Amino acid sequence: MQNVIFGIVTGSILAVATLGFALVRQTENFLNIAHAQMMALGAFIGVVLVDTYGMNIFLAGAITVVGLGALGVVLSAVFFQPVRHQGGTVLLFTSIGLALMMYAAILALFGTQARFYPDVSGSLYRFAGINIATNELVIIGLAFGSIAALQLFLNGTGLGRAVRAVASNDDLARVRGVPVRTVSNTIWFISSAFGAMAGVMLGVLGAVNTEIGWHNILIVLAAAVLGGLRSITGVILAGLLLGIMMDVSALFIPTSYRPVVAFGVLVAVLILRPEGILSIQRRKDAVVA
Amino acid sequence: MKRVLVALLAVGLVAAAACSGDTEEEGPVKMGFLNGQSGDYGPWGGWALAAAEVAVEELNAAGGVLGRDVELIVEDNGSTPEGAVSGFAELTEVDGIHALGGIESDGMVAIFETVHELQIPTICSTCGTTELDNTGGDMVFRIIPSDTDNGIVGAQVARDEGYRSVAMLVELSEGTESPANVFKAVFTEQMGGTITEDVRFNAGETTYAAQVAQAFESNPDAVYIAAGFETGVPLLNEWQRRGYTDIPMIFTTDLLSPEIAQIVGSVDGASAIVGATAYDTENNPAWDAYVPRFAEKNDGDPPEIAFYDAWQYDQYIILGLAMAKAGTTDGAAVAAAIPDIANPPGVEVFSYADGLAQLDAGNDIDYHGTTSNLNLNSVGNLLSPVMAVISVQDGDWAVRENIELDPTLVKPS
Repeated sequence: MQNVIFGIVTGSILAVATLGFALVRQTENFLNIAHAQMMALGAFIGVVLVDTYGMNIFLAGAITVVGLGALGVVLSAVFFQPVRHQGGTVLLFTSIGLALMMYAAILALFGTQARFYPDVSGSLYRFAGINIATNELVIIGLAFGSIAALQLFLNGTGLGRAVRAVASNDDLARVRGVPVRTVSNTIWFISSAFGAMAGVMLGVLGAVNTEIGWHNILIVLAAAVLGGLRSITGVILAGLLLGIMMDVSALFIPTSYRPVVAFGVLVAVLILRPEGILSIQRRKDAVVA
Repeated sequence: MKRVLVALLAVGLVAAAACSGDTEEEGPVKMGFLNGQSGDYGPWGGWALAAAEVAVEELNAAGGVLGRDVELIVEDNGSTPEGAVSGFAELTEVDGIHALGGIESDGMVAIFETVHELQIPTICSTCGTTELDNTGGDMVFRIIPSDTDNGIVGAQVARDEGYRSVAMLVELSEGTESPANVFKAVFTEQMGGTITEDVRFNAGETTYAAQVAQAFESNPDAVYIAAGFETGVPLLNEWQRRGYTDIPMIFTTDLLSPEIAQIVGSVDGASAIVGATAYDTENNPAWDAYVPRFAEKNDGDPPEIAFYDAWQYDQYIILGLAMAKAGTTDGAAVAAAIPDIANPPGVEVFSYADGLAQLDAGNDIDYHGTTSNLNLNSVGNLLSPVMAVISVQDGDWAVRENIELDPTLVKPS
């Protein structure tokens, strides 16, 4: 059971990171590899604010998330909008190029030395033979709070509905007068902010090093494919499922095979349910339509 | 015509290569320093570089090597094999180094073959890998104990502390698995100890919660941790977070950093010990001369326990003396001279200047460094390492006692 708790913590971070990744995939129609470097940047900026400037972790996290959300909008305007009309392949390679540039910038700005958030574990709560630290509860709460807020935004606001319209059919939305540029900026802001938040969470639990983005992008991709790139619920479930499977697998197989579990699941899903774990629902939707 | 052009091009390339070879006996003597200034070995990087600079300054103060200035060329390998390969290529192809020092286990294994192909005399000052136990002595020499020794001394410490069962947390890398495998074999096969869990993990995981729980929840007398610094900090944060702090820990030398000592020292009653190599500081003129010069360079005394710094100094003094004895910077000749410099017979010397004077007088020399007598066996390994039990005391590492390796414990087959 303890490992399930570990998995929920891991899965919560994975769900936040993957949601940002899937949003861009769903609306801009390409795999944004640079998303991983936004996570790394978030981890580094957060640790600098906390460790170097002595800032409160929550304030530092908020500044990092908002700041990198804005940076995401700028980067999309500079790198992606000019080549958007050339299609997904060009956008994919642009994102790879941007990821490499961001990685180089991280090396130049922060150096190659690992950094660590000061211990912000807080109390350890024990019940029914399991334990969970305050910071893990905060991570789970923040992750699900953010995801719930995103759901509310998408379902309960005009801009949110516009985002869903663009995600559903870009051309139709444009014809119907949806402000596509505004929607695009909103998506980039949310996506980058979620990436930055995941980065800070990763840093709080582990170490902040320059490879943190590269280490996590494939797992994020696995969660996105597993969840089905078009379903928020699917992404959340996939993140949790992968996190729990990776951490529970430690009880049965050597933990060095942890990533193999994630990709084993990914391969199985690609073979059995190429549209993700919520594909049955999607088929029903298709029949109704 | 095309063939003529190709032939001319080939001749040109050969001529260029020959010209570059001609410059080897001119200009400064170039000592490469390929070291993890960042990454897992980063915490020791500053001390390591300062020690190397002290050595090169000593060489130049004594008139240089073969009458030529000595230049230290630094490459950060990022504490990774990939960084070592690219750094070594830069040092050899661009900088044209004559000798190499500073490298760690993973990097040494990665460039081992190339070092021999290019005939670059190399002293391994921070690599304990068991891969070098039987393969050195021609071009590669090691002046620190092997991980075989480190693994044996770790098991010896565990036995002497009265631990009968141990859980293992081992990062998957050459430098950490190497001593851990020896520890496991000696502890179980020669001491009858039990391994309650052997948890191997990759660096760069999101968290280590599951791995730490698996090891500490297995009811061991102690937990043996072999990990790099970047992994060690989150591991220990997890250890602290979960309240496993009453279970003693045995570390490998990779975790001998001040930051790690601070984490352990911040917890009341926590215990961490390392069976590791130590410096030969008693009545050692080489050490006595080194300390103030290092202090001046580093703005502080060298660490009292072995933090990979003084070996960096010793290696360049050996290389300088070997070049002086060989009368050339030719790689094969220098490598052949290294055992002659480090081993008896010869007049015992404790500095480059003294060694040079004895060589000029036509005498053989036996260089005794800051860290030990540096005597090497037939495969270029340190013959008699100085070992110690090191523990966290008041938030810092401190030598608890010097120990001899138990001769009844042998290298596992």
